[in-house]
Amino acid sequence: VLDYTVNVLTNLAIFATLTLGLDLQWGWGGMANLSYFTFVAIGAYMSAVVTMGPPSFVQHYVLGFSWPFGAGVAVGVASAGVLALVMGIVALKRLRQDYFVIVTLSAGVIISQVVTQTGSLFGGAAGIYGIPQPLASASWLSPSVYPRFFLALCLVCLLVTYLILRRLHDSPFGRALRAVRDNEAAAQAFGHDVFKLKLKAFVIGGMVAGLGGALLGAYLTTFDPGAWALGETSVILVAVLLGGRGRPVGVLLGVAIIVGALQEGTQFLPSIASHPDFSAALRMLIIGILMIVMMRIRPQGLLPERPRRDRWSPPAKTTPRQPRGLGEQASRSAR
Amino acid sequence: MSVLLHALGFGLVTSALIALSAVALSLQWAVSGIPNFAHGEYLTAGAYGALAAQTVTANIYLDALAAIAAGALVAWLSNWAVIEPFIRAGMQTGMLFIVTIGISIVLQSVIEMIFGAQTQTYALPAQTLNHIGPFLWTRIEIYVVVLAVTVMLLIHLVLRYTEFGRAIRSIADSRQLARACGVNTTRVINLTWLFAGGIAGVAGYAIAIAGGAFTPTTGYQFLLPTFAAAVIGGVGRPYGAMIGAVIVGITTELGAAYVSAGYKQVIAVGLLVLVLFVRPTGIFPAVASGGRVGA
Repeated sequence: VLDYTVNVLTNLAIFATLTLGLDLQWGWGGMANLSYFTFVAIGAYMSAVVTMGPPSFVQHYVLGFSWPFGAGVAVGVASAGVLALVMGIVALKRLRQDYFVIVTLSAGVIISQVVTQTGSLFGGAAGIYGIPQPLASASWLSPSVYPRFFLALCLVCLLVTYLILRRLHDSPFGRALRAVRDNEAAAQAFGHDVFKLKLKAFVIGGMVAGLGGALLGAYLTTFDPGAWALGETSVILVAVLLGGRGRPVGVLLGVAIIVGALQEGTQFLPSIASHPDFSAALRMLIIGILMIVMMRIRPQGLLPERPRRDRWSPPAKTTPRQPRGLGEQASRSAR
Repeated sequence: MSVLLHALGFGLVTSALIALSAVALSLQWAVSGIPNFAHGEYLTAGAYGALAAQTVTANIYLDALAAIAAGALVAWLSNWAVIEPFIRAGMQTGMLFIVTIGISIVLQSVIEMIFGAQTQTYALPAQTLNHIGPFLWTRIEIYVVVLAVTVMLLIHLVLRYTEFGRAIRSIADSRQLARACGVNTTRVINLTWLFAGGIAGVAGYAIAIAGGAFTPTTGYQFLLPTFAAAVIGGVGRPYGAMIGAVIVGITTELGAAYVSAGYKQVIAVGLLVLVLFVRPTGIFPAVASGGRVGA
């Protein structure tokens, strides 16, 4: 039972890290990136191929430098960041929001197809396996203790990411970014460079995805294109949506509910012999329904972002009343 | 030369499939104003509707009716239950797109829960190869092309000569204006979803019989090529979508013949991205009369 708990917690820690990155892009920056898992995959692949030994005749991949784990993580983070930079420069420059979504989705499909078709790059459809885990051969770490060590490592990564993002959230950059999300024209009028802010957020989010990917690859020790469909991105998307976009604590809650309760909880459902795919489909069904229902009844999430009050204005004792005309207009358009 | 002709022949069949799907997407995009991610699942619904009908009758022409019904029902339901309430609540397009992803996930998993994830096939009559002009097509492929052309003609007649078609075109231009001019927009929008869903159902059925086998994700795999065709033709313009479909279909099959069959999807999606950057209004933006739907 302890081993199982450690496994669940490790999974949770990795997904929480991933989700924080998407929240930065989507929750703060308003960029719904449907290829988010592509960055995770690039992080996983790149850190894997530099930490693994030279390719043998059983599996093909590029590089194979046998570098230590830390260097692998750095490479994974950097390459995901570079990919985000390229994609961001291209896609953020001139696209409407709905076209941006389609383009990110398309870019994800193109990259995943190319990786699948090109066997010499990252092992093609079969993927790569035997990804080395950090310090797995260290003598002072017995195999029975190792999962706990790995969990600690993931928790440290999560904590560091969380603290950095926490700081960014209240920094001038974070506030400007959310201003852009709420009203792009107004933010621009106040002198913010919208493109630069969004690009920065896109790249930092991509780097967080790379970090999570590197951890995920080392945790699973194998990675292939099958682990990388839109389904994975939508799980993270729902976690952000459920917890509350734009607020790191909310996002952590969302991950705990989606990955913890839903993914792990449904594993205990009795499987139907004649219908082996039933519980997997049921899990996706719940995720889809949650996505729609949350958007409908509580689009701000369970733990919504708190609007920061202006430091100089006196604290409002009662909620300010909306001007009459505006309220009427809003209720009429809702009808 | 024969490689080229062979690829062109395949390309026309693929074009026919994408055209059916893209016209449906385009019609619905025109009246609701949102790119619908769940469109792929309407295709899948059509394929499975026909499969369910095969337990009753083995006549594949009658099964097409079940495909139409399934596609229309699912499309109408997703609009009535989810999309229209969101539009009325004033949600912006970007977020609505995320909502349609939710619909897509729900529909796909429901289909998987009912029919299972395994590959399905129709019981089809034996196939013979026929020379039609320069192309070598199976009976089924001929049937699919004829079916697509017939449906396109029907859509043309409906858009051009019926009150319903005129109402669709006016709503595509401006929902408020159409309502102000006495068009019953709610009714027309509901009917359009039924109509587009029915066409999508036929498309799914055609994809299933042309491909021979299908799974709950078959429709989803056609989503991006469909988007590509609809965007190339100019968003919300069914006639443009037909031409877009021919471009996408032939390009992908030529690419498959001369580059690698594995890159089909990449080529279609690449075209989509290219058009979004170079001409987001589509390559046929200036239709003679300036109307958004129809000419």
